[in-house]
Amino acid sequence: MRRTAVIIGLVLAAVAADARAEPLPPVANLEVAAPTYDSGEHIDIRWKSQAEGEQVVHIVVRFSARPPADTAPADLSTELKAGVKGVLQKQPDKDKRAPWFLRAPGWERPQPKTAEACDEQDADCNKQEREKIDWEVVAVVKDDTSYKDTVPGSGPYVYGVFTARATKKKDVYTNYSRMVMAGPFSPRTSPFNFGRLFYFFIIAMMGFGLLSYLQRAKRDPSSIYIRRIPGVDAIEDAVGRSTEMGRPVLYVTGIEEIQNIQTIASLLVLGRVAEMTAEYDTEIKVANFFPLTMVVAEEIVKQGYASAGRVDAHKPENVMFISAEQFAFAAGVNGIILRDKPATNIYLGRFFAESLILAETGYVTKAVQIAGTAEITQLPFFIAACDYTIIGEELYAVSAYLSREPNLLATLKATDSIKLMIIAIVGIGALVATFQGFDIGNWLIP
Amino acid sequence: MKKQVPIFITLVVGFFATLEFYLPYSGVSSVQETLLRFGQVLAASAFVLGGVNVIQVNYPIIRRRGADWPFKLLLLCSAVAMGLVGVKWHEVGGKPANGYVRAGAIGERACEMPDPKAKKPGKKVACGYIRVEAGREDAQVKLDGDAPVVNGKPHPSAWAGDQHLVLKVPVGKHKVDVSVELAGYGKFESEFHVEAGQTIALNTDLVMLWGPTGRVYTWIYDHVFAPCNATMFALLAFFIASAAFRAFRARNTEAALLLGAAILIMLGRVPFGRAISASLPEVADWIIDVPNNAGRRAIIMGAALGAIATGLRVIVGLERSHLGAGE
Repeated sequence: MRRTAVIIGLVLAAVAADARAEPLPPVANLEVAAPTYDSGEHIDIRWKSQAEGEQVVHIVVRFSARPPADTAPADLSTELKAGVKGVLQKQPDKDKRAPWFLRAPGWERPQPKTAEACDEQDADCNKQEREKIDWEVVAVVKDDTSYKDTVPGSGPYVYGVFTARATKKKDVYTNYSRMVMAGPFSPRTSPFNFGRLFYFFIIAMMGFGLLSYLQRAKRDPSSIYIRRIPGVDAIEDAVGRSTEMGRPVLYVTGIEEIQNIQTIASLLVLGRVAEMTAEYDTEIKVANFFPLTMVVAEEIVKQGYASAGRVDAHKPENVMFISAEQFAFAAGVNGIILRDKPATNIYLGRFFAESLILAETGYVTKAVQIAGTAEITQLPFFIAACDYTIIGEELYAVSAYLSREPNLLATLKATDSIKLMIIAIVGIGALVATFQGFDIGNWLIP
Repeated sequence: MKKQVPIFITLVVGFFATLEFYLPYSGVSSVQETLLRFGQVLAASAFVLGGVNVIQVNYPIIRRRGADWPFKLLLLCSAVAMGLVGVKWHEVGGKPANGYVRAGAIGERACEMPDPKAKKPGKKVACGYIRVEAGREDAQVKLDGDAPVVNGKPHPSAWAGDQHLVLKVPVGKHKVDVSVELAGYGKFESEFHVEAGQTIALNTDLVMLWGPTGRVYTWIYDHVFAPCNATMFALLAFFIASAAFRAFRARNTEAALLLGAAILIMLGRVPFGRAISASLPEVADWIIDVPNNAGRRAIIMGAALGAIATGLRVIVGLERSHLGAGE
């Protein structure tokens, strides 16, 4: 009985030892290709994993392969041995042999000039030629079966992928599979990103529409009709109310940096509002989240006062940098609202969680509040807490709407014409998808 | 001229930024990256102007004892204090060492220990000693990346009662890290070779750091700024309640629709709603997926077109109100 147990134990131990040494299955369907519309710096590598388990990783090796005049399949061992030691230098002694993936079929290397004279075991034979093949481990990929490699030059490159099992120690792997190779491939530079052709088409159409409406505005400015935007109309009334009450107007430019288009739109409106407050002889206070926004806002307000012919009434200290921390900014603006009690609060730009904190505090002080943002998550808060809300695209139209300049209104008309085109595309797309099952969206924007 | 030059710069930069989106040529993107770096430098330098603005706005109020002037004073003092503790004072005059290593000066004695790599017990190897003199009770020590084993148990502290920690280690290369859990203190790291019977003494004196990762800065951030920040954020819950109360008053048809949709969504999201009717969650999902999603997409598409139009207006110089005063 005891002997049987010992035999079973030995067999199990042998099986376990064999399992430890067992190489993982190699990857299948290795595909290497230059990405479409690429800058000529990348190569996509995809494969199908045949190994399972949490610790399974795929190691991607890039070889610089030069196309030789005379090539022949060869054993990679000499080229890779040094490489593998380099890659897996921290591996435990028992795994150092790693022989399986060295037998990589399909690999082509420059044929030695004295091929017949070279012994495969002779590492020094044709050494100079072999050293020309550079290699690099470009990625150890876990939980994925693809990798986008950024290549250092124009190539060509050969890629090898092998499977291994990660160990507890960093950079130590075991159970290497045979390496599967593909190549040589070269990155490809595309002259134009045709995947973005539809966006280009939209911008081109917008430019075309703009030119056409500009011509029309020049011929007959009254022909440019823009519908009323109540929120924008309310700005002048609100400024008038501030004047009557002798209280300032508070203008908040959002909490995004100046390069954000919503901040830019807000600053464009600020010029018109500053001009209005200058005409009404009302104080305007501008709260800014970033110093660069503050600097631009100060210039804009000064310009507004200059346009109204009241440069002397401009107070630079009324354009304030509050804080570049979200809730510190909210606290600072709330302080202004509660201390100075502005009769009008205008929040235009990009807002996040502080939107409701500001708007509710403004509600407490009974100020007329006009908010505008294209940030979809904050719109409900502004709608709930403010008197007027300028929604989405209206924010970008405010400046042109307030200026009433035909040139600027022409851009709004151009936008509307593109909108009509998009409505048509959406309608056609819905019909085609319903009756033909064809996704027009994926076709237009692949 | 004051406006023509900025318009020209805007045109060129805007054109390049647009071009970069369509041309996958690396030369274009590298120019674009350089331009963005210019922007970052400008934004960073504007912070100096921001600081000046804070002083310009608040100092006059303090001087004339205006409304709430003590708060302004507190603001300026806090700004100055944070500015001062944000400087890496500990690096003035050179980077300080967090300790030093003395090798072989302590005296050598023969030493043997069980081989930690041996599969069978009983095999012994020559060893040496590492003596850690941490200087503070909260110092933690790591030997070769892990807590060293003392009397069969991991011993993370560099403090061994009233004595220094002495570790018996096999001959060879070893790495010792001494640190404290508190943020804002230096870390001592050393790698050395221990010979047979040799004692390596590590004397550590972990320096308190200054600057953005320093002790004082992180303490103020963790104990003053973070709670204040959390308090402001927490206020949002009450503001949502009061705003929802006003928004859900059915004053007209639209408000009544809003109220109805809100009630259905809220009921569809809680177990009580499912208890009333199994189809309530489905109704809530439908409202979110169909009418809400349609409206959301329409707003996003409109906003995207508006953004393009605004961008074009600014790039081609039709919109000039942002260029400031002067001709």
